[in-house]
Amino acid sequence: MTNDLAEFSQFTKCFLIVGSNTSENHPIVAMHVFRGMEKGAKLIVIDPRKTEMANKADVFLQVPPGYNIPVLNSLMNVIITENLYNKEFVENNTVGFNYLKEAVSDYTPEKVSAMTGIDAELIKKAAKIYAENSPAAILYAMGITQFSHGTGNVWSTSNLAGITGNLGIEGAGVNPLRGQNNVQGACMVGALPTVLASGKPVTDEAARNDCAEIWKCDIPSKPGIALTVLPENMENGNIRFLWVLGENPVMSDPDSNHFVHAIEHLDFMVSQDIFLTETGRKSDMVLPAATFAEKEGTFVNTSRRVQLVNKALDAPGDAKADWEIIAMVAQKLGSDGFNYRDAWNIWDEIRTVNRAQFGGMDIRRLKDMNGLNAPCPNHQHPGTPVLHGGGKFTTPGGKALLIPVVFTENNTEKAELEEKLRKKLDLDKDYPVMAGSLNEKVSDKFPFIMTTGRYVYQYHTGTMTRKCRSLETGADMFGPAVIEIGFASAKKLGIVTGDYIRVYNDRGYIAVRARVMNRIKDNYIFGSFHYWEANVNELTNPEGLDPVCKIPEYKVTAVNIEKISEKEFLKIQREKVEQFQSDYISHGGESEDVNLIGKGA
Amino acid sequence: MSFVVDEKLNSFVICDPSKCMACYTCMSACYQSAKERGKVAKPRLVVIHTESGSMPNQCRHCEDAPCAHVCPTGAIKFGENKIELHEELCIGCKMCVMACPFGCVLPEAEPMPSVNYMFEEPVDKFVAVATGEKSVAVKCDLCEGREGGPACVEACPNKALTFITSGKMENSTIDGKSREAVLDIVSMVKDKLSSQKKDSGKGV
Repeated sequence: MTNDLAEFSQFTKCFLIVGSNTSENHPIVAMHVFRGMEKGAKLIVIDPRKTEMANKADVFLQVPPGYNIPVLNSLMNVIITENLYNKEFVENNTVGFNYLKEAVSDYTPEKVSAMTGIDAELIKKAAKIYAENSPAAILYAMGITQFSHGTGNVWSTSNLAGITGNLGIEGAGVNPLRGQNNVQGACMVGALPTVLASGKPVTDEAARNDCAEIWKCDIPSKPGIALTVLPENMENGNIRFLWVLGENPVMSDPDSNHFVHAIEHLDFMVSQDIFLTETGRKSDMVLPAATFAEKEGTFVNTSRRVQLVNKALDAPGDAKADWEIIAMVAQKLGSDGFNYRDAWNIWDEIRTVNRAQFGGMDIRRLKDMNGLNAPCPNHQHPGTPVLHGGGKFTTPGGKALLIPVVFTENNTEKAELEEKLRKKLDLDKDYPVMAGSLNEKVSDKFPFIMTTGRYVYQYHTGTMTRKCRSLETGADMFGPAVIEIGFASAKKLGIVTGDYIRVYNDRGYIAVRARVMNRIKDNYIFGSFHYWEANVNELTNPEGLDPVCKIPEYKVTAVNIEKISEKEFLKIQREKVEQFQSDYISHGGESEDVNLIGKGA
Repeated sequence: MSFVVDEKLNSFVICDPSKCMACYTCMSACYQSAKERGKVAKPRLVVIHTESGSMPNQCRHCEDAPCAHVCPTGAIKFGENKIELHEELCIGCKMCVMACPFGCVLPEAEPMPSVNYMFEEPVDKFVAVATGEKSVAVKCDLCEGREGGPACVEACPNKALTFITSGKMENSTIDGKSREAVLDIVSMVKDKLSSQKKDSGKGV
């Protein structure tokens, strides 16, 4: 996030929420939003589902999954043609406005309305509210990022904030809502294949040398392998040893059957987690890790706020903090420099390596000031709740880069369109542009588009929440596993709430109960990946990753639905027990079974 | 000058849909309260999503409660300031379920304590009520026996739920509404009179 959470209730005059079911998935953020609204802030929601945020919104644009670029471009189109943009900010603090203007000129509200089915007047109204109420904050989550053009979507949101001058001031900005308590921190200390612990790219020689000097060892200059391309690399022998820490890829990877199949090719697999996960069951070795309450350290929250965590309990049995396990393995391998005393010892090293972000955050300051916002380079620095203050950016010229992003419905046209745009705008070779599209479309065979998400009760693949007895035996009303279907689609198929249905495509099949709700448009369905009993990631598409960050398109999958009997449902459930709750490694594509059930045998 | 409301009126919990953010915290709290008080561990209020908004739906504790009238065993009966629920007397005839005009009485069964559903039978919990479990009528009992009143009201993070007792109803709900209604009527009549005057003036 470019801004701090707490600013929403104080300064923000307008919220634009794109692709985030905030009240269910980030309730604390939603509370700040509601407090802001009580003070008169406006709310615009762009989402495929009519969530509770949408019910409370001043303007709700029900976008079909995957059409964020046209909608955001048409908002910019309205803002530019009606002269509502911040001319002073655009002139002094941004570059590439003319490129952007040219790129969005095609996206008139009328044209986008024909493409997405959103009322053109609503788009105009939303654009006006966003442009006229400053400071305006953009909040987004996985509904922006989990596409084959996720990076393009993110660029679009920052373009929108850039042309209206909503950057570098309190209560504004572009605010990705992070899904985990420490995902921001993990990224900042280099838990990414392309980034060093100092937050700089591994291809940067000077940055590599800085780290090498502290660690006294060589650092490879080649970026690592992204998580989402692991299966290919395991199959072709690039990876022969896999160590999974606090992750459950057997359930969370797209086309999870493919991942399970790829595990077979490994020599050895280790899973390190607080509970025995679905991935742990299929591993050769499981290392027990301590939970958050059983160790000391820091978490960096979504506002880049570094917060201390104190130990409340002793870890049970052999369980150890993650850093202890890693240090023990490293020492056994004969590596120097892993002889840490405690977590604070490591924190001091992080502060030395990543001085620009954490340099001034010693434990005493963190304790006294109840957490500090990174970057905080020295002891006098008060922390940085608002990034890009005064319109200063970290680009070489110090100005915000406005990046043209366009959209095509035809996936094969993408490269061509990008080239055309480059030529038309006469761009430099290394000036970024992106043409977005969708990998999958509806066909006669698969007439529904499934979009995926999360419910309030469960957390991700349920590695923790599925162990909660009270959720399992009653409190979780959505469990175990439902698929949301719109009224008209359900009526066409003769499905009512509680019916058993089979959702399938070429990659796999799941059996779930239907929940008929008018929260989603016709021909779209919504499912979650919380439950191994019916994990939508068996169906999601692992191909066509985002070219920059390699994120898969979780949000758009073409599927078909059919009603099944309770007997067939239980049969599929038993298969899933075998698939997920055993050490059995699937051999992929049990197509005979699929066909049998498909014909209603 | 305020209305005198009969002190024997039933209390109830109600939600302000403009504040509800459908986070289901109330349902969790309800489940927990029922479990702690030794009742059937099921949420007694259910968040319903509709086109125009969402809010939890629960027993209104009607004064002339149809559920209490039809109950053949006295499991649901008229009590002091509430419609009482005695789960242990319920024979599961489901008459109250059909009689309730709000859909707030639900036939529910608790999983058997002797079966660990999570590990032993991961499949059969999918089928609504497994054999051997007795369904009983479950509805809001205003967390009887719980210190601090209804758990849902306490748990709501956005203060959308209110516990309404006859005193509160008198002050906030009825008084305010009646004043507003009178104001509306007065202004309407005034408007009409003045427009009539204008019209008649023109006519002459």
